Amino acid sequence: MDQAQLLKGVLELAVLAVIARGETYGYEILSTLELAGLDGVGDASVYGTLRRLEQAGHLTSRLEPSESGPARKYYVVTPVGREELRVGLEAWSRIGGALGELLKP
Amino acid sequence: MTAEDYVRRVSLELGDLPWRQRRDLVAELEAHLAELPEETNFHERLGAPERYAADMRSAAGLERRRGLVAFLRARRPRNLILLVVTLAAIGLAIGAVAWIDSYQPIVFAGGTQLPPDSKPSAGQAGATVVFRRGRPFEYGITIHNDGRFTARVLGVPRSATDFFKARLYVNTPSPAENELPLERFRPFDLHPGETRWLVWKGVYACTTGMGGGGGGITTEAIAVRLGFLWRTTTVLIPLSDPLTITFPKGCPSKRVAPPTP
Repeated sequence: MDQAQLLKGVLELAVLAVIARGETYGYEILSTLELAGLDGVGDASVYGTLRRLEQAGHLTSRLEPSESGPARKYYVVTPVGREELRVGLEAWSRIGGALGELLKP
Repeated sequence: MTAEDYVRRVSLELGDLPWRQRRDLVAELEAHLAELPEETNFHERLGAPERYAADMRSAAGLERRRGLVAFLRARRPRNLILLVVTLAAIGLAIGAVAWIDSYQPIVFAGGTQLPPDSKPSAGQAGATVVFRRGRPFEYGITIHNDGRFTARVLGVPRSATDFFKARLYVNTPSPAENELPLERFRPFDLHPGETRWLVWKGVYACTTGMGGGGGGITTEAIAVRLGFLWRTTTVLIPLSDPLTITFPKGCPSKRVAPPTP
């Protein structure tokens, strides 16, 4: 199965998890995801996810003026977002456990 | 490819979306590009602009819009040209139909064949003749196509004020309008610049109810039925030499079947 397909489903969780570590901005999130091994997902999807999460109230943002170009948008996870992340990670381990069971020879 | 080029091409790809959505997506892309390190090869890192636009759509859950509104919204030069051409074609078609409907090139050509015993009218142009029931009647006019396109002469409708029983004749086409090999009228094409005689030959007859004596009628125009492309119409050809008929003894009101021209 295509990794990109799998990743799209968990992208929201992954993005929330990255931002939960500390306030960050778009490009940094992309790099973190890449370094962690999630590199098949495409920049557009990540930015689309950021927008969706912010619209849903799981993230808030602020603009930081930058000397080299337009202002940068920094994101933090909201309390609602943290709750979503907790629930999501629980579901993830449950599913991962079940899949592990199914894959046993 | 510069950042501006990349953004422009993505923006073009998103042209069918409502402007607000498009604006938000483009703003997001610009912020994204601004965050990338300076020497980034955008095409390499992000893929083709068209592909990035498609990814943005799927991430945002936006379908490619179809329909007339999206088509106009896209505002590509191609779409605008198509729109302008379509409107121009419609305008031309309407103009053409209006012109065809108003095309009337037939005029009186100045030639008159007067009835025997006619005299110049007193105090006005044209001639006067005295009605004599049953006596031979003959009258002819020339018509000319003053326009640039051929019109078909379909006939000369009978009039309620006709004072004769006659057959209509037309001359065969000839360069000299004074030649008169006449034949029975059949619908014919009058070409631009062509002149033909229309001649009535018959007898004076009362086909109208004109009682009393001393009356007169002046024919100042001839009605001609014309065909041009799909349009058939009856036009009035004004005569610069009107013909006046006087009825010293009147015309008893007797209904007579009009002869066929």
